[in-house]
Formats: sequence, C-alpha cells, structure tokens
Amino acid sequence: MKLRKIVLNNRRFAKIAVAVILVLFISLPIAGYAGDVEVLLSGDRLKQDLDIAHKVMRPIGRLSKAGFTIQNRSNNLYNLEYQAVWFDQYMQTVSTGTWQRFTLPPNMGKGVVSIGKSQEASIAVFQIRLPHDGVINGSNLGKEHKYENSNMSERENSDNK
Amino acid sequence: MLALLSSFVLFSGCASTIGGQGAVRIGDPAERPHLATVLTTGDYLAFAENVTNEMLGSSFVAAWGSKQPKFIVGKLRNNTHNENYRMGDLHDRITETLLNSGTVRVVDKSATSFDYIIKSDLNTTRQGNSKGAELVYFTLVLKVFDIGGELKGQWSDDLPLIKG
Repeated sequence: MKLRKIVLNNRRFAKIAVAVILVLFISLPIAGYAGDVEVLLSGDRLKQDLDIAHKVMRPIGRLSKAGFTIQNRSNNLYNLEYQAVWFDQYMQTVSTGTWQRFTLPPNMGKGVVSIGKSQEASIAVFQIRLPHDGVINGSNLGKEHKYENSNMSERENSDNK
Repeated sequence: MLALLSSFVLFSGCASTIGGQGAVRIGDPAERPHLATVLTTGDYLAFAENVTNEMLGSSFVAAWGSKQPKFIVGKLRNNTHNENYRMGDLHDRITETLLNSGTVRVVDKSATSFDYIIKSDLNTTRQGNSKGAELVYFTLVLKVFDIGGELKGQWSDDLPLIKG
C-alpha cells in the first residue's frame, strides 16, 4: 500500500518507468534475432554432416548484418560455397551475392557474415552447396548438371567405401 | 518436290541456328566459372561484395550515424602481372555497392569539397611448375584516407585461383 502511494505520488518515478518500458520495447529487435536469417543446405549429405547454429540478424548503422556458424560434425574435409541473397520485408530480392568458396576441415566450424547493402534489406537467405566446378571446363559447358551429378555420386561412393 | 526439299533444308537450318544455340549459353552472374587463372567479372563482383562487407561492417562506418560523407575515387593501382585488368570496372562495382547502401555520397575528382578519398591496390603472387600447374593469389586492398592524408580504414579480400 505504501509502495503504491509512493509510486503514484512520485512523478519522476513514473517517468523513469515509462522510459524503461519504451527502451525495452525499442531495443527488442536491436538485441539480435534469428527469425529473418535462413540457411539452406543443398543435399542430404550436407544436411547430415553439417550443423548450422547461432543464426543472428543485427542492425549495423542503417544496414543489417546477418550471420551464422557452420560446424562440420564429420571426418570429411569439405570444400563448400555459399551465396547470400537479401530480401526486403515484402520478399522482393534486394541483392544476390556471388558464390563464395570456403574450406571446412573435419570437426571444425566457421562463421559466415553478410551485410545487406541497402536499407531495405531485412531478410537474408544463405545457400550452401558443394562447389560447381563443372562449368569451369570449357568442354563441359552446357553439361554441368551431368557433371555435377556424377561428381556428387562419385564423392558419395568414395565416402561409402 | 524440289520446293518441299528446299523448304525442309531451309527450316531445318533455322532450327539449328535459332532453336539450339550451339555451344553458347546464358550463364548465371552469381556463378564464377574460370577458364584460366585470370580475374573475371564474377570475381570483380565478389571482391566488391567482400570488401564492402568489411567496410560497411566496420566501426569506422558505424560511427557516421546518419551522416553521408562525400567520397572521391583516388588512385587505383594494378600491381598484378596482367595489365589488362580494368581497375576502373572493379572500382565501379565497389562505388555502386557503397552508393546503393545509402551510407556515402560519391563526388567527382574535380570536386573541391569532400571528406574522404578511396584508393585501392590489386596485388598478386604467383607460383607455377613445369607441368603447367599454377597458383595465383589475388589480393584487393581498399584504403580510405581523410583530407589530411590520414589512413582511416583499410580492408582487403583474397582470391586464390588454382590451376591443376
């Protein structure tokens, strides 16, 4: 009862309380959230061997920064590539990044970060796949799908052995 | 009969020219195929994406707040073994990304009022053996100086190209 009287009678306390509530409300999205970061792994083998964690989206100045960690739980050395695609809140594509290559040693992890290079960019989708080197060989131009599939099956067969 | 045969030849010719496009196909700009250990437009895009990732994510840029400082493009140096790399094209990609991010304003070299100067270097190291294997390591360094000549930020990105 006494406390209630104090609260009601003290205007300064009321103002501080309102300010605290406002700051908490405003800072909720600033604290970092994973809802707008999606990571897509291409193929069952990658889904089986790799773990995605610590997905986060943070504002950085007037832009957004998205990131995640990828962990290799297997004893295989993975050469992989990822692409970051940014969308606005209406799922319109804002920017499509190039494929970036990286190596993931056995039982090791790596952090991946991308910045939405427009103020509208608010949703990030990362795609991860095995490298598509089939298109490099000039004689295979236009046949990359066959090459990739055979490459995948060769890898899977060698792993099974 | 002759007319029928000639029209068949004519149309089959059209089919092979228009329908099947021989060895030419449209590529995906996000893909980065390489036929040799040289930089492609896809690599320019990747360089621009990575150095601007680092720059825009830095505390230097975050400290600007709502300000949009004016930049001019300074010296672009190609220190590689290949003189054909167009540093202007590479830099166009970088300035395009920065400009569209809404964080900077880009002014012409003739401008008298500006805040920062961008300079960049493209460097390579190269290894090879007698069997034709080659490792070319490209590094793009982006530097930002203020008008007093002080280096305020430096970011780089590496791209190793390996020919087996």
